[in-house]
Amino acid sequence: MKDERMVGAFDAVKPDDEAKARMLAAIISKGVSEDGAAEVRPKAPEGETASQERNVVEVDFSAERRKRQRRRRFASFGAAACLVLVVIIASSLGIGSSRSADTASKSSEIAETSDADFASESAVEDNSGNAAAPTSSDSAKLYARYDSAAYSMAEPDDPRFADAKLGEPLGTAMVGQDPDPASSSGTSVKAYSLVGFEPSEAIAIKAADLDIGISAEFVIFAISE
Amino acid sequence: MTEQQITEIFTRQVDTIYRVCYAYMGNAADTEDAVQETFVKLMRSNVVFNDVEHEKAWLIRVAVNHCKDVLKSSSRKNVALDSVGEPVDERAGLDETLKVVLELEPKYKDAVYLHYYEGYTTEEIGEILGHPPSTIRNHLSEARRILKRELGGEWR
Repeated sequence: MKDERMVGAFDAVKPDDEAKARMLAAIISKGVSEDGAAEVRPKAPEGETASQERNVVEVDFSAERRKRQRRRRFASFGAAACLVLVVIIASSLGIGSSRSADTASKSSEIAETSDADFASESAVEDNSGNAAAPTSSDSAKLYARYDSAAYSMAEPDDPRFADAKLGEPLGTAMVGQDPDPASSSGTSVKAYSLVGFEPSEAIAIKAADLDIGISAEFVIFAISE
Repeated sequence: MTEQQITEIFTRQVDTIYRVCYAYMGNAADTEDAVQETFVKLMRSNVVFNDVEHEKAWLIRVAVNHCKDVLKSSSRKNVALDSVGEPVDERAGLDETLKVVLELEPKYKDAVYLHYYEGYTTEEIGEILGHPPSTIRNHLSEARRILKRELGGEWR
């Protein structure tokens, strides 16, 4: 519903011809000179028709994941080291000498458990998707897919995603905060299969887990290569 | 996308996208940058538009997201005080209604501009911005309250 006051106010806000020419020249110059920098490929995943209402962005998350791996390893190593240090200090002070062996054994147990957990978590990520799981963790890639008409959100019960497992973390993907696959403002997020969720739940999940703000309200489906 | 295609789309949509960006950036220089980025993103994308309305809605959404990103990142930037010049009040000569709109929270600006200037319904705005219509109605309702308080009159 238009309002005269608002129309009057905004009518004055427009670029003059000179500004338009300047902007257009800059756009064409940037678009041409940096063309190809973005990893946009008009390739559809296997099984999808080439209608290409959807864009496909190939995403390599290996660098980001290695970073997380290092952080986790460091954290579990730090926790184990702290416990060992406490045990050493306690035993040197003669405190709880009868229990120090237990504690030491527990600390190593914790360290082992952390590693095991981490290994199992990595396995989940590596086996993202359901079709052909990536064979090498370093070369594993995800496809972050979204509707190119970004404002019409893909339905969670879209039959094309029928094989995806409900709510399963699929790995880390690099996605932009707008519907443009060439966006440079990428954010590292954890991509979840949202199949089976109601749209409102999907939005909640995106807000909570993806932590990329309300401007990124498009559903992310990750599919293994 | 060819140069001719981008020129056609630019000519058709630049005024709208400029206003959307201006509502966020509040000054001509930043607005021009945001408009440029929006169209550069269009050039780099392989989006296929169904019609002109689809094209407009896509560009509005990209522009809004870009402006939010810019404001988010610029608010975190540390700038040396002595490198900042005297602020220029570009809003001095602006229409009173526009000034009040520019002062609104970003989430209200979108709804106000798209509803009262572009004439979109709450459902259409919801589709463009990716929010449920009920959220848009809430934003409009709160914006109306502010507009009424600041400018008087009725806002329907």
